[in-house]
Amino acid sequence: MTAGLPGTGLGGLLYVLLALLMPVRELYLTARGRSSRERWAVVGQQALMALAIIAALAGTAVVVARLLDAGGYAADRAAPLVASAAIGVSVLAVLSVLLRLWALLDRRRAGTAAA
Amino acid sequence: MTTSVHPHVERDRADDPTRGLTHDLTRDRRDRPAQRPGRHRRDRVPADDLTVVIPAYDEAASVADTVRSVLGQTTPPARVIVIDDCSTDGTGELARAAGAEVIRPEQNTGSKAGAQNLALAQVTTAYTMAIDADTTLAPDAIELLLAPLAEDESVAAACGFVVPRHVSSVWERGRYVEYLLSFTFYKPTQDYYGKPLIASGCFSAYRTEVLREAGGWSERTRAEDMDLTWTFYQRGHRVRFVPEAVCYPIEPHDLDFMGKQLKRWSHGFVQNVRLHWRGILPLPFLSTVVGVAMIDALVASLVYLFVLPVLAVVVSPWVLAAYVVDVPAILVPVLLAARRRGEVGKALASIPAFLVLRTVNGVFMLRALWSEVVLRRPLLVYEKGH
Repeated sequence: MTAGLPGTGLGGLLYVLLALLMPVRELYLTARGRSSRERWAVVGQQALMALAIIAALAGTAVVVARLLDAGGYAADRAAPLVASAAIGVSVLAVLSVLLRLWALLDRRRAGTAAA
Repeated sequence: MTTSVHPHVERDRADDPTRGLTHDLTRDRRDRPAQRPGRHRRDRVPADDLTVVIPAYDEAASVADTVRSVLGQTTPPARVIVIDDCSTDGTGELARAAGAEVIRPEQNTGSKAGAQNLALAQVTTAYTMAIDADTTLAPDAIELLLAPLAEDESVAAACGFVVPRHVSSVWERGRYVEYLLSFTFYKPTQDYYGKPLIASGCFSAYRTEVLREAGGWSERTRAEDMDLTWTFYQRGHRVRFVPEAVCYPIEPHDLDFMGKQLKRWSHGFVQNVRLHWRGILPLPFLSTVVGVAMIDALVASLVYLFVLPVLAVVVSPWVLAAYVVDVPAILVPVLLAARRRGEVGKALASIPAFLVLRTVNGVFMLRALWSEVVLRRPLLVYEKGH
């Protein structure tokens, strides 16, 4: 999420994934002699933050599940909500890939036309 | 709408992930020698190659503080130019009295970018810094911000950490949490991958030659800082984020001012996406981050304003818990940043305001999308709102 723009957490999840990928990428760069302690300090901090965010999300999920159970909110009512959310996220992911593909094709068409 | 940016990207040079990431981005602010009273006091070394540009319109309440904080730096700039954009409250006189050179055009330029370009024409130094007239700096902010520009010629711009100067009203508190979250988790990640999303207009330094080559600050969108940042990337330049360089802008304190700022930001974001989307496609990280931000902003607006209220009525009031379900995750970077600043209590107390602000953000984003994309009615007037 950028300051001033709304966000559901989808953007946040992207950054969590990117932060988790940082150690892998830095290992690759270290093997090629292109890393440093300063870079690893940044990588370590961001990756630890990402892990803490995942732990917080997991903890929240457990608490919510228990609250739903305690409130007598039957799993068969909660399940459609979870499924809807999962479908929504999947549709968004596919949509973003399609948009990107469309944009690439459009760019290629524009390049061909210019040539 | 056309773009004047170059499609050619010197990717080998620009995308080298190890270039310039040598200074310690994680250094705790408390560890900085300049901030330990009586220890390692640094001499004031002038930044002879730097001109600070401060656009100002009716900023009498804050411009003197801004000029004094610039002149009181560990590395004071060679020149401080305030562009008094036909203020009616004595802004120019106050800036001059505080020690700045003042330029006053014959008529109001109509935008922040217009005022900045007026000063850019007079800059003769290698580096130019843009600071808002309501923004003060930490004493070593300029010294720290110039470091990546001096170290690496491929770096065209550098931006710092932003913290609201006053954190009192709901809107200031909401923005305070937004900034702690963004500048602690998102921006360092963007910087690691070589593409900070935006070099904030309130406090950024530029290589003057590259800034001029890009045409200065463009007036074609209402977010000239985002436009300039993405233009730099498309031309193969690098932008760095320096978390240790801290600035303190005055954020909107009421909904009226916040509304003007959010209108400008939301329209500016949509305008920049429309303007640059083809140009940023060859830049995988930037295009992905921008694409996800756009989709997320649209989905969030619809979910917060329509889906959740409807589900709360149709399914169960418990659905409203979705408004706060991600608070524990948000607290991780926010509390980490707040702990470093000794402001944990303030951050915790500001979380409800953040939840309010992000819902309000949704209103402005939907209006911007509707106006810019559906009605094809772009926002053309720059309306000041801090």
